[in-house]
Amino acid sequence: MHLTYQKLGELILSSENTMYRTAFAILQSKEDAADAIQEAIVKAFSRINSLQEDRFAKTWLMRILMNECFDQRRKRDRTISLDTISEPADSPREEYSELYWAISRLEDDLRIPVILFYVEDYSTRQIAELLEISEGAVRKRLYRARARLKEELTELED
Amino acid sequence: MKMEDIKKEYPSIPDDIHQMMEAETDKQIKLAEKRSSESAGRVRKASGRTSGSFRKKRWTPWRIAAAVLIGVLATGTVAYAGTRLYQLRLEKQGNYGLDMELVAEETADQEAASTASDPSQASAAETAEAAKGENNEAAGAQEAAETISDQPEAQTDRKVTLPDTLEQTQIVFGYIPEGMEQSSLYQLASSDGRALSVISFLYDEGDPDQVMHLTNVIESETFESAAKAAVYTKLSDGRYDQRAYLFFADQFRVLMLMAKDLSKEDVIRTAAALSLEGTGENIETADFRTWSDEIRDENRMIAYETPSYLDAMATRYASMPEGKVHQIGESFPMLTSATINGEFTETDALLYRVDQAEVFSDISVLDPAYLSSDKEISDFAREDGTLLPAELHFYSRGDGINCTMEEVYQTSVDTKLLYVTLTLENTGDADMENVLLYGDIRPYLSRNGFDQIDGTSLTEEAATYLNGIAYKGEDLYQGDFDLIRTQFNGHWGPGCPLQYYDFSSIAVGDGTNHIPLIPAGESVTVHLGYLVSDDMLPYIYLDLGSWEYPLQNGIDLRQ
Repeated sequence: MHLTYQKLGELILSSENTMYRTAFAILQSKEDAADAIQEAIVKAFSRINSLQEDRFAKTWLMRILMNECFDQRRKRDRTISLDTISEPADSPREEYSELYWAISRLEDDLRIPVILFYVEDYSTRQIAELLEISEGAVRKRLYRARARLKEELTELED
Repeated sequence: MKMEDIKKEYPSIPDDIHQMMEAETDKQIKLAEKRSSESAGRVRKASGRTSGSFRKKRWTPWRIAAAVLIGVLATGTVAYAGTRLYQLRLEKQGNYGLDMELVAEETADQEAASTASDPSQASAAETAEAAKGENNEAAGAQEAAETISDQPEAQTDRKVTLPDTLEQTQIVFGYIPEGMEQSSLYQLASSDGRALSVISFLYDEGDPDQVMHLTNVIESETFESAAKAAVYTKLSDGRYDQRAYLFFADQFRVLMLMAKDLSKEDVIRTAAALSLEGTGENIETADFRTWSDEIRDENRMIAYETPSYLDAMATRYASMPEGKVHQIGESFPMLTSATINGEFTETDALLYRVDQAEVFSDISVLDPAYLSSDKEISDFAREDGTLLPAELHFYSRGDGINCTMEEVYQTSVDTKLLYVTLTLENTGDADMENVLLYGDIRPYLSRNGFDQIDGTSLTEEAATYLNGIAYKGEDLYQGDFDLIRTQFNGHWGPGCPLQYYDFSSIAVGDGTNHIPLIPAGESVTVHLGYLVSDDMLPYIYLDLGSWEYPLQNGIDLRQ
């Protein structure tokens, strides 16, 4: 049976944290993340019949969201620099650790797997499906990210 | 601080975004339910559609069906008085491709009549009069259709501009297969798993590329229905492998019906008995997905399956550094990512050498501590440690036009454990940290100069070490488009990696491929494990490249 609209709505709302953190990880902007999420919700409802297996619904939903985030980025064609990383509303910089900011400064292909793996508890296999890369590539990126963070945090601690 | 600590402080969704999501989700549910009476149309953005210019296309019709319509719209925005002729053009492409297009054409008389009259003044009487003439017009229009079909280059005005509003319609299932029931406004279901869904699109013809390129069609036929034109298709794969398209052109609708596990007879009977009833309310056409939208998206998807794309892939492999083949005991450098002097870089100072490749019928040589947490021993070995047999399937992958993906051979095979001992030597003068180890086994099958690696086509230049092999004397190659993929117990490949990394020589190892440190001038030895089909052992190579760049270096492990 197809996923019903009601069930899709429940899935979206139960995944809201994951959706927000993933969109924020990609777009580095709360406003942009909100736009991407809103578009993704519209597209998910319009494409509900494209979901072949209900058990893959969350992966399907997240892929729609990620494609929307990447589309937004391409349209806007901008480079996120440290200066433009927006801080979470009502949360000054000092409330977040150096680890948080170091992750924020990673490039996309490292930052996104890190967020999915360490924050959202996705397995490497699930991340591979979402990003449409191999599991080996996911592991490689996670290790590269750890190596980079270890270098940066060592410097900061000094 | 550990990486896992980040979870505690990563921000949760802000309240305003949470509220936005709730509101948008609620809105979309309501909109979807409203559209459900339109049989699940899809939302499109109100970006404003404009009709494109007409571009003539040469046709060599394989089968043509003509339909005649006395066109009267249900709204007052535009009205036609006269004959509108439709042709459903179907053109076969290759063995499994089918191009489908519904073309609306007007005769010169009707064109003059429609431009002379003031559409907004069209009266109910004129409408009724036009409708009465339908039967009388049918014969003449049929003749005209045949004439037009013989003259594919005859002029046409193909533009049908959607009005801003249309009458809302709902689906009526005039026939429901036995044992099924209507589970929603647009779906039928049964307890035995049969399912049928109907999707609606607004029918527009503004785009000159209004040809739906269907692929993997193994059967098709037109049939009579309440719609002006209807066609049934059966696809080669997919759960919903039967489709029917119904063109309710007079109501500006195209219905696409998808069915799972129904008989062909039931699919056609259900489709033939579908009708649309007006609800008396109007819809804004800007909110709905059009047939043009669907064609554009579907046609874009099949671009990835065309021979030209796969030729490009083959060219890509050919243009990369020529694949090298090494033998057991031979040391060779391979570009590797590592952290050196605090910088993440790539180095060719790491030498690789396969010392041994042993074959075992049981798992006694494995240390479970180094097995990936994703693997369960019971999945591949009995309690006494002997290996379980596996199912090996061979699929010919098609392009959907000349050939479809299909299983060409299946066999149950004995499984062997391929236990590989690999040594990595740091020949540089600096320590290497965070080295990641890759390796996968691949079969090489070759025929007629095209070398294939588990479904990837290569040119001869890129694959210099392949032999022409037929698997057990079976001809595995069918059709014009030969790409063989093997599936080992559901895993694509001749076997599957165990994700087994035994780094006991350096007292590290957590079942991952991460090597924390290879000091300058020193070596690390690792044992890798792969489950392989016994039958494929004579064809196995170890590929140490990553998925992105396969065939950088292969080691001949053929046994």
